[in-house]
Amino acid sequence: MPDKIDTGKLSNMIKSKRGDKGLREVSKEIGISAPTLSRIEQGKVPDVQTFMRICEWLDVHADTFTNSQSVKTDSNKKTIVAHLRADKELDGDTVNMLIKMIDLAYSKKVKKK
Amino acid sequence: MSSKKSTLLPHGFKAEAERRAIEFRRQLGLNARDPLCAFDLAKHLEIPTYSPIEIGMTSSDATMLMRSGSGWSGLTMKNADDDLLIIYNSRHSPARQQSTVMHELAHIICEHELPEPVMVKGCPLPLRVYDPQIEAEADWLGANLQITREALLDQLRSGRKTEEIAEYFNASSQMVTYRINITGVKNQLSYARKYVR
Repeated sequence: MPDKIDTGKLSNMIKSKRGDKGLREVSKEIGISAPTLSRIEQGKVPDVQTFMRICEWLDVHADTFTNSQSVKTDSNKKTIVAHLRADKELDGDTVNMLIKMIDLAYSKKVKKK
Repeated sequence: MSSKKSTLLPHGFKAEAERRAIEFRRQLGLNARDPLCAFDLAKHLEIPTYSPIEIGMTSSDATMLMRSGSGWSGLTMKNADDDLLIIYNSRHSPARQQSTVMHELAHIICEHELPEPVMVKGCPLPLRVYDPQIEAEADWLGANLQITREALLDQLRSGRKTEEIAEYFNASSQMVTYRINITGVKNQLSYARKYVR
């Protein structure tokens, strides 16, 4: 089972650097919307572009937010890709459940006619 | 659902979507104006659909995933044998499940490439990639598959209200309103009333 992104660490680092500055001002500096920044600070998983921009603004490598032990991934396991339909950014619990479900689905034998 | 997104659609896409929606109905022995069940269409296209429990999740995990406000509706993926499958949120209303499954089928029908996960070094979790172009196409086609333009015109001409139309197509009122707005059928009807006596 893969580890998750440390959204808590991400959120803390952002809040720490933001300090007393308003969400709107900081979100402009980063290059994302204020509502998105607010959601990330609450621990939601960011999309790629948002994550990259935040890392750049924080001046850190993306590695900072992952458990270093997770680098040892199973290289034989094919990377699973999916079209995902969701009506908002997903929180950590939902993402973890999706990972579990996708793992199960990957091994599922489809009945053919 | 935004009407502004329809400007992303390639030329001819809308006409083709209507054509496909009618053709699938014909293949299933239905009329252009009939409702079409997303699960029937999936079976017809040989795409299996599963709820999280049917995929093998425990009851408590499935409950966590589909709890109110989790935001997840559905996904399409390939298994280890490279077979496509759809998983949908079975706790959503039937109308919402229809819209979700139609949207996922639309991705498959449009032959949208499953997006390469963007892997950030050291992060095992592929981060969400959102392609507005393909989402706009799947939104449009998915909705068209659910309710054809022809059906909508017919329903409105017969004086049916949004709620009645929604019930007939096992769709949400929002979906019906969306289809009415984006197809411009009301304009067409008002021209007809003005000039055809």
